[in-house]
Amino acid sequence: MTTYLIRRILLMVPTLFGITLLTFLLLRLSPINPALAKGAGSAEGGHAMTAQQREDMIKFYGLDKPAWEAYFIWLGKVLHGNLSDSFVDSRPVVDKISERMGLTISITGSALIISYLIAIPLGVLAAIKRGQILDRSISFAVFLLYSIPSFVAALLLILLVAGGDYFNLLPMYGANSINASAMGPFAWVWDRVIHMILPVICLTYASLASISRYARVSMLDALGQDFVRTARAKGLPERLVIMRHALRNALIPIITIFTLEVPVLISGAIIIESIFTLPGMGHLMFQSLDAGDYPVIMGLTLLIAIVTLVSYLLADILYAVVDPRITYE
Amino acid sequence: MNEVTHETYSETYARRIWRHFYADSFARNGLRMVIVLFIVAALAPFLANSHAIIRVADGHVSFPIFASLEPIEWRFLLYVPLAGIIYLARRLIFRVPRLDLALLALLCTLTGLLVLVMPVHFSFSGLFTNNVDSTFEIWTYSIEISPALWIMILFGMLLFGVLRRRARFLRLPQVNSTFVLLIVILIEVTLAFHHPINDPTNDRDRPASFKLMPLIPYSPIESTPDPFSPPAWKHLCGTDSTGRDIAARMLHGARTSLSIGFIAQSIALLVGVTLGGLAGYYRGWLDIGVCRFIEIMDCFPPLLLILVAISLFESQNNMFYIMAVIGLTSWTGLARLVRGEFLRLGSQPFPQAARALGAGDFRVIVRHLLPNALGPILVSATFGVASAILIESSLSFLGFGMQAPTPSWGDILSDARRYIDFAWWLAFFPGLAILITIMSYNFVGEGLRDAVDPRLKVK
Repeated sequence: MTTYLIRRILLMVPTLFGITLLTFLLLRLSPINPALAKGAGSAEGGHAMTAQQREDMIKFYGLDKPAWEAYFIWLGKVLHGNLSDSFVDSRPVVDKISERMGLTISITGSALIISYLIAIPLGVLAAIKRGQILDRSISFAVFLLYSIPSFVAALLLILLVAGGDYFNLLPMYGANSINASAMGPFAWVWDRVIHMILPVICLTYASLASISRYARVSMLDALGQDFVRTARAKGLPERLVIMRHALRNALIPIITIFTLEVPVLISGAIIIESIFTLPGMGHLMFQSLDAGDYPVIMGLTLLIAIVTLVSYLLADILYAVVDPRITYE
Repeated sequence: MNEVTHETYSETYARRIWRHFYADSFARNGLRMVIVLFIVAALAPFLANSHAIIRVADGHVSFPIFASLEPIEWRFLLYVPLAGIIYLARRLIFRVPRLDLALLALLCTLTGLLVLVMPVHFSFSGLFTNNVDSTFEIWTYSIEISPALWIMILFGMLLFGVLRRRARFLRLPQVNSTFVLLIVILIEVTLAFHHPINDPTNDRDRPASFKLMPLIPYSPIESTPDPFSPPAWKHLCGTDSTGRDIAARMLHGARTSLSIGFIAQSIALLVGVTLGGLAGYYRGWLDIGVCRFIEIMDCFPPLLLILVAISLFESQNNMFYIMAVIGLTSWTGLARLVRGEFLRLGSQPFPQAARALGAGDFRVIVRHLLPNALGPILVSATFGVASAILIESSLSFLGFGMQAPTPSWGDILSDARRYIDFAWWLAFFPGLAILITIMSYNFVGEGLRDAVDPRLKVK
């Protein structure tokens, strides 16, 4: 196990290099780069850049140096946790990102947990009642949900329950009410929860659809195995066959697919956070894209890619931990 | 015992897939829906236009809608019937499978469908507008008119090259193909002199003794004096903040969505199949390199990479640019799939047999491995089209999509976001359109997957 772990982590290193190289090349090859280097025509990239910002960027990314040299110098800075300063408020990018990370992690995390909690029973139920009316209706409902883009769902939900002409139950924007700082701790938490309901619902249901479909297939697979037939043959009640024999085996692949949802959730967070103006990473990304705040854009891109990579690693380790039959020798 | 002997053929792979696919009612209806959407998109200028189809005034008959058509729309009008005529001729006159005519019919249909690739206010010359002088303009115009012609000529040459070699075996006479190609060249040359009349006035209020208006008598970029009109008989899906008719914008937006989905996925298909196929066939270092590259690409959430690429490289939100970016970032799944299939198929005896008979690498890949991997590729590509449409509408929604006047479903939705308090129709109708489109594609994909999967043998 330890050797496997070490090998797996070592395998990550070239990918990590690749990620940094790709991020670097994106900026290096982009048309804003010659505009920077020439020091003229600041509107070239669509966004005005002051002379000072241009200086900073040339210095940080080594745009006046040959690409290879510039890449390694930049990599050194990144490894020291230096991602340059934002154009908008001249604060370090690392600070800007880290103060917004908590919110994004909490909404994507809760969306992931909720979608697992709903999706697994749904998928299992559909698999048990395979081909019956329940299975078909669950499959159809999941399919319908899957085909509604999250931003359409968000708009319609806002229209229905938040402020529009119909019900006014939930807040439309923001992570907290305006007077949140004056609230007591419990009131503050409740206020936050109320504000998070809609965003989390919107983030949940796309993953819910894919996880429940996966759960159904996985459960069907488990139900077709020999040990299930054996369990039935020795006279176990159906409930025990399903809960103890089939479900446990079906859960192994389902648990590890959460990594597949990580990129989906992050993409979703960019859209959902900017609809609900939640001060998270996704909204920061959207704001930076809008303002042409390149240091923040590049920093976020790099960070998100690394997070995704780590989640892939986590899945592989989890797979080995959850399933004792798998040995990596 | 005089029994009639039937020649029995074993069912081909494609036919078997089609039979299973068609037996699935969801998949069947999904496919029908996709076809309907394509037809609606192709006919958008005839369904929603502020110009009359026929107008009779002062004893003078005119067809204003046709004068405003872009050359590309004329192509659609001319080539699709031409394809039909060729097809009928093939069936009725020759009564033999004529490979050349079948290919020509296909070619004409494809050229006709080029209209879908070009949304209303798009032209190639937009790519070159940086320094405009008169010669340059003529040059770009000739580029603009000729892609169909070029494709035709290239395809025609290819066709004749193939047929000349095949003629001896298939005993195909090659007469009428030349004739058809002549008609095509004639159409293209005529269209080169066609300048669409850009008439900003509308025929709705203009008096006439007789006029036949399209179903929705509004153009997608035309502002009417009543903004935020809720759905009513006058405006079926309401109007937006500047009084543009939502129904008209949605019909024309179908073009943007469908064509971006289709073309972006074709690009992804090209890259994914090439890289995955090469990696799976040659293995070794190439395989390791491609796999690493896929792994690196997979670490970037698709929407994130596309947004960054657009913000770093945008000069103008050009349609081809968006197609290319979506295509070049969403090929990894396909490449994985093709690599796996090629690894599996490559170890079977039939490619070895082909190689023993003297087939080169290219022939083994294209003629032996690729057709056997086609089923799963098709399934993945169908889902890919749905996700490309989704990505395009997300981009337009976030304001990183098409240029402003180009109608797109995501663009209407981003308008909806601003006026969500009261203008429910701005969110509902385009949302419904996206839902239906994506659902139809997903049904087709599901059906195909069930049909292709050999484990799920249906009786």
